[in-house]
Amino acid sequence: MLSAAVDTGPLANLQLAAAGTARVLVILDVSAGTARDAAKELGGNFTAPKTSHIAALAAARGERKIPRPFRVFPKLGVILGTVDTKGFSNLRQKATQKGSAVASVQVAPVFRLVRPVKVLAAAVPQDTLTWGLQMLQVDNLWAQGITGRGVIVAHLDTGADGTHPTLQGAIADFAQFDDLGNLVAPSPAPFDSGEHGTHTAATVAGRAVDGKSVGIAPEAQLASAMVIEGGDVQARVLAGLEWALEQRAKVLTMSLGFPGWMPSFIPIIQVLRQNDIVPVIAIGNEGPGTSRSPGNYVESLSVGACDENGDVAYFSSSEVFQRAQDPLVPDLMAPGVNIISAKPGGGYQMMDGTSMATPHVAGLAALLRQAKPSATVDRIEAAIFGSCAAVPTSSTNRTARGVPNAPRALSLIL
Amino acid sequence: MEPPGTQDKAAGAPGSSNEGFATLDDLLKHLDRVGGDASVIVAVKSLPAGGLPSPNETEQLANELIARAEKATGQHIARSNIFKRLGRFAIEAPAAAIRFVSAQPEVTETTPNKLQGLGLIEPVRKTPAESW
Repeated sequence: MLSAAVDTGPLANLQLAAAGTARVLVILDVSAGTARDAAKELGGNFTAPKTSHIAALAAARGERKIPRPFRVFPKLGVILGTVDTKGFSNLRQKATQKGSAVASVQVAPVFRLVRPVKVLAAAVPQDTLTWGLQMLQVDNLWAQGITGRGVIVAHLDTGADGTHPTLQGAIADFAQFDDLGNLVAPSPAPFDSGEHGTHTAATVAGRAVDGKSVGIAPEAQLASAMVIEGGDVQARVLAGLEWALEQRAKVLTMSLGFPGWMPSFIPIIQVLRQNDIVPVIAIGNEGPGTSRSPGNYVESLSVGACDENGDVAYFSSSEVFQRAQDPLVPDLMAPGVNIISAKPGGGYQMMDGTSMATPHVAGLAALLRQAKPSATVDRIEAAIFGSCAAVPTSSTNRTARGVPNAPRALSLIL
Repeated sequence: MEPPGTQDKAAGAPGSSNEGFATLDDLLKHLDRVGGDASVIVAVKSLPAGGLPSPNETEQLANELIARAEKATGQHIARSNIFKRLGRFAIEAPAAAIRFVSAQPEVTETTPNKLQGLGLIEPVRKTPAESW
């Protein structure tokens, strides 16, 4: 039984005074009998409405439709009807009588759509998605308004071509460093010293162009640092990592590394995690029994590559370490074969590699960051891990947890 | 961008290709042969507790170590950069100064700035996607 929390009698009286009738909701005390029986008993108190949108529609079609005085909703225990002054008075009186079928009489609420405050064009037309975006089902999150908006992803690579249509508006800041890691000032406009960085940047945060989407988090912002051009020096990478901390990035995507085990960067990746940055790092392209640092650290979220069937790519590195925690690397796989993304100067190209898989996971982390800003790095990581589907046809030592799924990860983090 | 003054990539020198140096020893041996300066990354720790120093501590330690090395070796360290939040700093210096700094108790590790193998994980295949 519904209960009346507010006495709407005065409002009904106003309607009666203005129009001669009022729409009311009669709340029945169903313990006094069934709703239909009660309706039969009370039906004489209702009157046909003078106006009705149903009657008006029928009249417009040249039909005649007599509006019903009332309608019973037996499962709800209510009658919705039109009353005149006399009927309203009778029903109100019944509501005060002990043992009556009428519990209360209220003015019928008029329901209206809760309209959005602002209507914008869809940020990302979803006509065509790369297979990687489809595999992760990120469009499911986009449909819920989760596009990475407000999240900064640090992108340490060869730079990124900021003039590419898919990256326009995606690069919030750009940095270049000299051989000792000093910031080159003033910062140049975002450009790519090679091709790699533009490809990975667009996979994280590429905007849709002509209805085609290559970016996992198409409203995330990139803090893109050129750290690997002109000689692979540590200082540039360190400078990029420190710069990422200053940019208040929430996710790092880094497709570089040192072949084998090189523990020097462990404290640095720990600093990133302490500063609320999810460190997503490629594991390498040297196949089984190999890996790269810092991707192979316990502290890194390491990414291998899979193909369109979810099978591990032949080149994807994997290695088992003699350690209690997280002995197997990579942590998971992501799309890394035939990956279409942006090419410097315009256009697109396909690349294969764990470098291509890594920004898929970084983009997913950015989506989760937007969905749950208070989530810790550990929680984001756990949601991504928990969303992974194992690949039954391949060895776990190669595929690790399998491939993540955006809707599942979202459900795990909310 | 070629760093001015560095001998890291001296033409024809063993171990000085674009692949850099595998270890600090390799770099120092190279400098002993050809002279000049090279850049290294120095990781520091808090004393006496150990662990990653705070940003202020890192800055202070880096400046102290540079000054100490210059005083002890009589060699000027013209270029440096401190990564305050990462507990590291970079210097470009002659072999003697690098040896001195790396032997200090606050230093946990000194590695060649141009470290062999560190690099981009290059794609295994690239193909045009003109129809996209």
